[in-house]
Amino acid sequence: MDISELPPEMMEKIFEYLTFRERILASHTCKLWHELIFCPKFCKRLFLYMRSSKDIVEKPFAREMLARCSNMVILRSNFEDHELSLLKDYMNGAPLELLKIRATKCVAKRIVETVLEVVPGLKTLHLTVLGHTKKCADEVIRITHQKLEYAVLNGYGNYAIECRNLTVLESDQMNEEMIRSIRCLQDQLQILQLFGGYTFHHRAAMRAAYNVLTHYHWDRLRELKLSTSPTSTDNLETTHEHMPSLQKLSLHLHGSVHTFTGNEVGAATRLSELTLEKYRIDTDSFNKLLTRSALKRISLLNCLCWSVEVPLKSAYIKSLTLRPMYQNLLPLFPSLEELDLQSIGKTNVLHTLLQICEYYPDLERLILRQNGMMRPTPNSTNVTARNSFSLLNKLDKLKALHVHRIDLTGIDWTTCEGSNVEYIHLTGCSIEGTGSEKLVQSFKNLRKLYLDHCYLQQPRVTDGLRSLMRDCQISFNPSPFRRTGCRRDWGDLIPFS
Amino acid sequence: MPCIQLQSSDGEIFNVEFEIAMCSFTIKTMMVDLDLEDNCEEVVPLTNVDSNILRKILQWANYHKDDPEANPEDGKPVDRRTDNICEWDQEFMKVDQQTLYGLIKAANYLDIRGLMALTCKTVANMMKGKTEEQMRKMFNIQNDLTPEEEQQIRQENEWCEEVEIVAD
Repeated sequence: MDISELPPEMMEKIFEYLTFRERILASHTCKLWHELIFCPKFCKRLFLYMRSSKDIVEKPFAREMLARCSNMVILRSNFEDHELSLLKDYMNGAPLELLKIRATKCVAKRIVETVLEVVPGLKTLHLTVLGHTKKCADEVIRITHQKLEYAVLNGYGNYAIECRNLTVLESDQMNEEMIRSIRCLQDQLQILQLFGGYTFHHRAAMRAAYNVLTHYHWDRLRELKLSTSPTSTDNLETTHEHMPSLQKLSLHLHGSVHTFTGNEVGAATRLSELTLEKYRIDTDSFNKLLTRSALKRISLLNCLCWSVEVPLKSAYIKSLTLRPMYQNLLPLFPSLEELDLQSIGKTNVLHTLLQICEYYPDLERLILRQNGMMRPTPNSTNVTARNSFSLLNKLDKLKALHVHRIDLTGIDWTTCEGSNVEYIHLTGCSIEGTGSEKLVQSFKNLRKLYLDHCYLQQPRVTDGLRSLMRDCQISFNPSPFRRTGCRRDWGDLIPFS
Repeated sequence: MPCIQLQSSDGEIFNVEFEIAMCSFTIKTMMVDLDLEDNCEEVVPLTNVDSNILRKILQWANYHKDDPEANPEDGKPVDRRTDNICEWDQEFMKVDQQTLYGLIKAANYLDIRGLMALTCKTVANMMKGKTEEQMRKMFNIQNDLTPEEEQQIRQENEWCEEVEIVAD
């Protein structure tokens, strides 16, 4: 039997394991493969990039390409009238579902107002207006479409939106025009992200936005993500009455430090997810919020430390993200299943793990990250952390462990033999050659091990890793350092052949 | 251990442990639909699978009978990596192309997901890192594109030069 005798659906399954480049190469081999590879499913994933309006005029197959691509990106092109009408002509009836435009305001306005009417199937529109020019500064970009569901409108633009199926709106333009549009979308929006109001000039707009949000009813709104100022959140207290479906709330403070007491979200009984950025948390009143709410997931990003004596307490929180961790004190959330500690910095790993084991007996997934670039010091031995990972044995339910950019040199993995962890993903960590071997031998229940961009000291025996565990899927991406040649003393993992 | 009898297309009958046969969703559904679970006398004919391929498949299924069905903790529902084939499977996949395609077809017919993934990954690995010409040679493909067609395909693809792939 020949490969050409395999049915198309099986060839499709095979091609799915190729990267985009590899597929393109394979499509050059013969007519059949070209046809199979450019199946509608694949074309749906294609992005057609238009970097110059000349693409439209000079490429003889432009119409054909447009007729099969579902996604298109238009970058910085300046369209002459005849080019624009050609684009409109080609797009007419195209299966376009996603359109991204990055252009100056005048160009963006012309494209949007010309082509939207000929692509009735469009679902997603990303618009980024570049530069702040006086030319057509006051003009409003009208977005009128019947099917559009998702709009991202960023940059220096005034937008007027008339889309009866729009349910998701993201924008960094908190200005009058936008607020007026949002007000009209009151009955349909499910997800709203609104950023802006960073300058003094825009504060008034931010207040206006909060007024609109707090004085009208938003029956369908499930997710709300807002940039806030120290005073603006006071109004939010009434949101729980006006937003009966709200489940996720994200508040990103801009400006001076402000204390979050919990009253900002009112009773908020339906809220299941809360993200706060840059707030100071008043532990006592926050604990009161926790007892009266149905919150399951909390993220505290760059929030200032609460008083050390009173830790956060809740019997219901399932997922917690902390960035960064302050003063080595973790909240008391006995039902916690997922913990994501970001930029753990100089935090004492041993101390942290001790607390995790003590406080979170039900933990299933643990993520430890160091943000930014890790600089491994050759031959370093992390003495405090040497045996700390043995503590993981105490967490019976722990199944997944992610470690990002942390120096794991010198860790004694053989102490982890009692752990039930099934999935380990290390990204940008440093680890000795023998360490990775011990890791595989020690975690008896390991089913998947991913080593991505890791630095391996004294590289050896890595190609034998796989034979150590019969059922474990081991996979890795090599360290990016070798290519740049700046860390020659750090070997990569040798590819498994 | 309860057994079930499977008959290959060339008439050979295999006595297979229930548990091993169950790795095939096709057989599993058949058993439930025909209510054969208590009846081991019945012979299940597999008209699309010959005895050589069926023997290989049973060997694979026997080795993988204890595999968990899915790994939801992974977080990535679709696994696109091809570098994570375990040693035993790599050894098992050392077969000629004829057998390999036979296994793909049979795995698809019998709906054995693990084997389907393994065989497809193996073929994909044979394509990876090769030029068009090397691929044609590898898979015995005749180039039926005229130079003009080839030129146009190249130009079309250049336009999508920096294509993003939407995450599944």
